Amino acid sequence: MASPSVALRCLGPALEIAQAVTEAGGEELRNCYQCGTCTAVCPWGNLKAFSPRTFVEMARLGLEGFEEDAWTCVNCKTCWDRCPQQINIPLIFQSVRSILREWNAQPSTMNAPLGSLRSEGNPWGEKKSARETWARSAEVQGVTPATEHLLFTCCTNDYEARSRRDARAVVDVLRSAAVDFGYLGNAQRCCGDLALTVGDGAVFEKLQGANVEQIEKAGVASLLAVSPHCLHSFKNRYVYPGGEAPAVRHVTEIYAEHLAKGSLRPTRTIERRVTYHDPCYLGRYNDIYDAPRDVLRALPGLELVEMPHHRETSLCCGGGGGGIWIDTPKGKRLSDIRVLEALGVEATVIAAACPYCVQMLESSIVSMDLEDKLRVMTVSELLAEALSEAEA
Amino acid sequence: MAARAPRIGVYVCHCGVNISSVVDVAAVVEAAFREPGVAVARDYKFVCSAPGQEMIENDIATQLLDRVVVAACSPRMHEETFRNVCLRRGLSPYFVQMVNIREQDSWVTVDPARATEKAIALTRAAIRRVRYHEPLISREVSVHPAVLIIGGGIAGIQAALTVADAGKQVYLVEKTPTIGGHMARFDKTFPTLDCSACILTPKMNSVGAHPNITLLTSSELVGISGYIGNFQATIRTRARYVDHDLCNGCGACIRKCPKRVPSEFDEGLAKRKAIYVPFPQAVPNKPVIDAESCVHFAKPGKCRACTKACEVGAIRLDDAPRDQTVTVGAVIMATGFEPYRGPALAQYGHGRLENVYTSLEFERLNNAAGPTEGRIVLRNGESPRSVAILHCIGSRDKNHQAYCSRVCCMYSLKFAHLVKEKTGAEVYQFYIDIRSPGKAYEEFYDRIREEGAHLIRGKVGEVTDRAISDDEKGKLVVVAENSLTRQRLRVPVDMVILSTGLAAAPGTLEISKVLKCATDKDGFVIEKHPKLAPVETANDGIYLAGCCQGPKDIPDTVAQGQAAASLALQLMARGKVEVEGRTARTMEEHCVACRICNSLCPYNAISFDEERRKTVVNEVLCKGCGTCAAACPSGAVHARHFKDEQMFCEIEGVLAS
Repeated sequence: MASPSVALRCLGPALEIAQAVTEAGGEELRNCYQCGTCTAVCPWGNLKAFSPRTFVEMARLGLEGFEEDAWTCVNCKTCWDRCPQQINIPLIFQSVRSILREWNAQPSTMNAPLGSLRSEGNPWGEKKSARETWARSAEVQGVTPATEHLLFTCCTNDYEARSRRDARAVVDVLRSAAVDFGYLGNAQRCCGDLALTVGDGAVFEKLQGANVEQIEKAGVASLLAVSPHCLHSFKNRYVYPGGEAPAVRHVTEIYAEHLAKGSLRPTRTIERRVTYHDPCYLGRYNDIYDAPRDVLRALPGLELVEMPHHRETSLCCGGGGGGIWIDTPKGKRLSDIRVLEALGVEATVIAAACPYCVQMLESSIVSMDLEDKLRVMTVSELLAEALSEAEA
Repeated sequence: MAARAPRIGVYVCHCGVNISSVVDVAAVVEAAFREPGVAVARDYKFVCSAPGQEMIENDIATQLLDRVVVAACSPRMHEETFRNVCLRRGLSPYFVQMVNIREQDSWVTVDPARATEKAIALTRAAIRRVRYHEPLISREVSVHPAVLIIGGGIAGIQAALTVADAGKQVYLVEKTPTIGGHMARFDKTFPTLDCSACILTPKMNSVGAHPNITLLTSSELVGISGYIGNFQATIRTRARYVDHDLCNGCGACIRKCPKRVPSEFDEGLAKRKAIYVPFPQAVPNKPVIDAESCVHFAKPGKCRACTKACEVGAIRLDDAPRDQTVTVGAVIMATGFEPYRGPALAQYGHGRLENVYTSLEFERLNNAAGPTEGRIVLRNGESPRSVAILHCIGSRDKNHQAYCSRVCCMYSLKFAHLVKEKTGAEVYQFYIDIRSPGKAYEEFYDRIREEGAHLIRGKVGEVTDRAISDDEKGKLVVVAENSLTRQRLRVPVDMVILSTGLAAAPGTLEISKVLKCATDKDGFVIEKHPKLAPVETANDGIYLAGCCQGPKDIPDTVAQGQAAASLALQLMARGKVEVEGRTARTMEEHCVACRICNSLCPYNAISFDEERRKTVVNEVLCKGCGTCAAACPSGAVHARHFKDEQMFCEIEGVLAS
């Protein structure tokens, strides 16, 4: 006769997992007192049930279930800014992701971009040798020790068609201001922000190494970044073992400087109602809120309006932390909410300052059928337009 | 100096295992014996214990010791203990030298061999030094039987009554025109729901009428000198522009005054006149003129309404500030708190969304003498049907105030009760933890849950007026995660109350500078010991009471007021105070009047005699820090107990191999 068996439920802490998370960089999770502020302010709460607080609690005790939500965080920093314990919550997600990658438990959509980063130094699946194609046609010069500024474009600017137009606008503006700049061309590698935030520290280190070598070889003293993600990597993440770290700025900062000096004179009127979308990595991560606005306010005829969530409360487009490579169904994207906010203030243009934001916001505009009501232009593109010759 | 070579007893303490688990105490004893003059050297488990002390006393008697070295903990712990041992055996207490081989050795050194080496070196230094100790004399100073109390809130009021009822003189100095403090602004108090003014005003009246209390309102302490038992305090009374002796309190001046300004007492929710009494039960119940808002002072000659209205001629527009100096034996700081008013408020819509109130503003709404006569209403005059109370706004938050203010959970629960009682509205209370530690506090929390308040565990992230559903139109929407059900909620309400914490009052910092008391990073005054001396400061004769020491509720504030008062009374009961003998003194024949030391003394103990052209040290004020002795280029100033021969011996002891 078979003996009756009852499977008693026995769930306990798995401290080895907690230990692994701590060692991967997430030790601050011990300070969490579970107040829930992070979950209350996280922009995902507008669309679905997502609790960073629960994630931290589960990771802290190694309780099963944290694997599911590990890839949702887009690194917008709203939670970290508001956390009463000042915990770097995105870093906890990043630490868990690095462990999950070791177990081969990452979303499949990440495989292609990460593989491309490893072999070609960009996430777009394109060749290293194709990076500088756009720059050649624009006759952008390379970098020498005499060059004043290194222009560092995002991989999106270099490889993706729409964003190449943004890169071209940047070049036009810098030339108009007679700024002396150069470009690394095919020697440039992705800044590594994507790799790091999805938990692939090894690829990040490799990319960092290659870029730092180029910078030191060229004796770069000043770096101008087009993407705030690159800005953040070069300014706050990279280690420069050789010598001086370059002064790192966003392109809008040098625009604002030249507008104030008078070496940029926008004369063509831009008759548009524009709302500026603060990128997470420019605003919350690097406290740059005014330079882009100063640029937009200097453009004749441009009407600048603010969305309800702006500056420190800006709503993330959802592109960071690997978000740009995750397939989120339409109507469920963070950029969808942002587009609605822009419509809410009756803007016809969303001014962007980050290539990821451009991709995400334009994708939402298309999927929501709003192309005739709203468009995305970068601050560089708007400024370039205001600097161009008026049509006859 | 002793007539014969001193006989030294050396005692090396194990301190349980605190010292002996790291330091080889037997080795220290052995090393001690090798020093000349050591008659006795022992180690013992707890030298500070009764048998330990008896052991030393016996040795003093039987071994004819006249110096004692104790190698143990910090002198801050037991120097007095061993001084008393000596006193009991007729030895000068200054013939003891303690060596710290615990806090400065066994507790901070990892390697036992090195720790033992250090203990031996330090003990040797002490043995060599103690030979040259002198039987210093401590002085006695008399204690002036009066107390200065700074701050007229409940802490200051209670301290004043306790001292005055013991028959001693009190000077109660209050910055604003009336005593009462924050307690006068509250409506009901937790957990008893006593009316705050009803329990406070009898005490206020007692203060006003007490023969032993000199009440100085509209006044501040501007300077102080002296020492415990004998402080000279300079108090500045601002111009009131009304003669309180002539004024009969009729109020005609207030009725006729044309100028209205926001009332501080009502947190800006109502207006007062430029000539005003802060609240109906004020003590003194006489008006003062706020010169900054008064029309006469802005445009002289334009307005004389109050002067014309006053039938007894009490208005004095030519009034000026007055200083007076009083002598007291002790000082009690009771400067209170102020509510948090920092950036977190704006994050939750305060100042932008009109029905978002801070806790003190809401308290004023509830008060029957407040801007709405006690009715809880929205800005449009309607009664709210739902109210959200948000805990921990600006508290327990490293971005604002890291600490918990103790009282906010309780007053928030109180608010829930008042809202339900007065309006029947739904109450949603958003908290991280409920802190209800006092007597009957937990039962109060039970009661509030029974009354039907909805307590939701989750700190609020946002308060918004942008509706995304019909239910939310025209409402304030509170966004928080219910962490217990893992659901992010949007709760539409009519009114939001922000429960903020207690911050240090600006006056606390000002008065601390005058009194030279230390304040911590949050602005609260640092007590002598957080557990064992919560109402004393490191400055002898200066005591603390109430929220200037840290956030607390009314029961604890009253207790501290009584405690500080009893410590002041203790001084006055003894009538005299012993002042430490380790002071500096000048050898006048060597003083060249360079005056370098004059400006260096942190205790203002050094003065210069112009006639004789010599520096003089006030040995009662002197704390023996040694700064003057170190600075004197002629060697004219000596720090007693730290003479050159004592110091050099000590150094030699450390360096000897």
